[in-house]
Amino acid sequence: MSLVLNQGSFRVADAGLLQDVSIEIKPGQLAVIAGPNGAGKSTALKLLSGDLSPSAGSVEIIGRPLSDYSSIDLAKQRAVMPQTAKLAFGLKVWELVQTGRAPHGENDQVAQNQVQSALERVGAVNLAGRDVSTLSGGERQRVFLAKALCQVMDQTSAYLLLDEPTSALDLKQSQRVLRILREAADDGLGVCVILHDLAAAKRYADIVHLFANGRLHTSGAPGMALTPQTIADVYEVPPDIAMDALGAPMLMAAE
Amino acid sequence: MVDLARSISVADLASQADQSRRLTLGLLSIFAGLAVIGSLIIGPANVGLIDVWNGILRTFGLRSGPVSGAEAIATSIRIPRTFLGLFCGMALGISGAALQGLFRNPLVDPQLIGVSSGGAFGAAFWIVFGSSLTFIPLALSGFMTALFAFAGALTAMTLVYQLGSRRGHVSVATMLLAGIAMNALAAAGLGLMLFLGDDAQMRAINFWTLGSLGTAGWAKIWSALLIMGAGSAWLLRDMRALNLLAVGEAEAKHLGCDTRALKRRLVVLPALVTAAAVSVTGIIGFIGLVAPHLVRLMAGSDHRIVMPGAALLGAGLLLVSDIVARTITAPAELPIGIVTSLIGAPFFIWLLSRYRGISL
Repeated sequence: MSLVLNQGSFRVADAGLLQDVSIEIKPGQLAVIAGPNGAGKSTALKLLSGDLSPSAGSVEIIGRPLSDYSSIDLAKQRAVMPQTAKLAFGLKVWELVQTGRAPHGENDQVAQNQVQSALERVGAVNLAGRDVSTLSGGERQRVFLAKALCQVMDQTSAYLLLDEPTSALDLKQSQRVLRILREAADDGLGVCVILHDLAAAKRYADIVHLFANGRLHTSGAPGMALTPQTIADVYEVPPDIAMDALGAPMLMAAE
Repeated sequence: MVDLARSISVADLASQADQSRRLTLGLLSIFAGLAVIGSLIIGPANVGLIDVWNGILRTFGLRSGPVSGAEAIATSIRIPRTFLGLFCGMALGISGAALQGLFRNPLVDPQLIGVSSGGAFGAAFWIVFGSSLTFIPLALSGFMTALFAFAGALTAMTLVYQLGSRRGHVSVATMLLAGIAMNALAAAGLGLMLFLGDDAQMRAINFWTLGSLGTAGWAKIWSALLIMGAGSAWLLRDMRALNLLAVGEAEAKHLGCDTRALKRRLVVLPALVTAAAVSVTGIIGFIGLVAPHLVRLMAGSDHRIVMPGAALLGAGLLLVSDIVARTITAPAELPIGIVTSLIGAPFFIWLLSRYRGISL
C-alpha cells in the first residue's frame, strides 16, 4: 500500500541523472526530498509521478507498476503540483480547482462539492470567484494545492507529489502551505515534497530523503537524516558553518 | 467580513457561470440566425423570405414547376452561399479556438500562422499542375483541390508547431515568426504558380489569395461542407480536454489526459477544416482570431463555451462580412478576405497592445 521507487536509475545520453535510488512513500506520511541543486531530486519526483520512466528499476503504486495503470486510473491515484504553472487563459479559481476532478468523470454537482471542501482545506474559499491571475504568490500556491488535493483527497492510498511548492513564498505563506500538507498526510494521503528549507523539513516531515550527486545519501527520520555531518557531506560546506547558517535553534526546535 | 467570505459557495458560482454561458450561447445563436436570414435576403437582387422557403423546398426536390427570377437566385445562389458562409465561419471560429488552445495563447489564427496560405499554395499547385498529374483518376479530381489544400495547410501547421514548441512549451514569438516565414514561403510559392500558370489559372489563384464566397454552387461545395461539419464536430469533443491543456501540458497529463493524441488532433483537425474552407473560399483571415476572443470577453475562458460560441460567432461574423462584401460596391463584389482583414487587423493590433506588457 504505497508508492515505491525501486532501485530506480535514470540516464540521459551518457549522463546518469539518478542512480539506484529506492524510496517508499507511505499513505499518512509526509516525505521530504532534500539536497543540493542537481542532486536528482526533481528527477526522482518525475519518476514517482510517471513523467519519466526509469532507465533501470521500477515504480509501483500498491504493488502494480505505473505502466500497468491507464492514465486516468493513475490520475485518480496521484496528483502532482508543479513548481510554477502558467495559465494560458484567465480562469476563475473554482474553475481551475475543478479541473482536478477531471479524471473522476462524475457529475458537476459532486465535483463542485469536492472543489468546495478542497478550497476549505487550504483556506481559500473566499478566493473562489477570483481570477487566478489576480492572486498573490501565497494565494496562488494554496489554490494550486487545492486543485491537487481535490484530485486525490477522496481516494484511498493516494499520493501527492510536489516540487518546491514553497520556493517563492515568504515565511508565513510557506509555513501555511506546509501545515496544509502536514494535515493532508495526517488525513491519510501519502505526501512527497521537495524542499530546500531544512528547518521546515525537520519540523514537518516524517521521513527525509537526502540526495547528493544523483544518489540517495541518507534516508530516515528528520532527526536522524539531518545531522551536521550529513548536511556537511551533502552540501559540501564545513559542519560548523552549516550549523551557523541554518541556525541551531531552528533545526532543533520541536513544534 | 468573515461571514461574507464563508457564504461563497462553489455551487452558486458554477450555476451563475452556467447561466451566463446559456445567455451567451443564446445571444450568439440569435446573432447567427439573423445573419443567416440577412445573408439569404440581402443583396443586389430582391429576394424575399418566401422565395427562400420555396428555394429550400426546391433544393430538396420538394417543389417543381416554373421558377420565378427571385426564387432561382435564392435556389442557386443565396442558399448555397449562405450554407458555405455558415460552415466556413463555424469551421474558422472553432479552428481558431482550438489552435489558441493548442498553442496556449490567444494571439493565434489559422491565417497568422500560415495555415491558410499553406492551404492556398496547395490549392494553387493543384490548379497549375493538376492536369499533368494524369495518374489521379478523374472521379477524384473534385476532391483534389481540397486534398492539396489540406496537404499544404498540414505541412505549414506541423512546421510552425514544431518550430514554435519545445517539449510542450510554446514560444509565441518563435511561433509568430515561424508563421511569418510560412506566409512568406507560401506567397513565394503562389507567385511561382502565378508565373507558371496560364491566364485562367492566374485568375483562379488570385481568387484564392483574397477570398470569396461567390463561387458557391452545390456541386462545388458539398464535399467541403461535409469535411468542415465533421471536423468541427470532432473538435467540439475536445472541449473539456482543452480546459485541462489551458492549465499546462504536464498538468493535463497528470490529470489523465492523453496529451499526445490530443495534440495530434489539434494539429490535424484545424488544418483539415481550414483547408476545406480555403479550398472553396480562398483565404479568409481573422475570423479564427476574433471570434474566440470575443466569446472569452463575454463569458470567460471555459472551452465548453468558447468552442461552440466561436463557431456561432464565426459564422455570424463571416455572413455579415459577406453581406457587406456583396452590397457595398454592388453590382461589383468586394473579396470577403478584404472585409474580414479590415475588421480583423485592427482587432489584432488592439490585442497586441493589450498583451504588450506580458512577456511572450
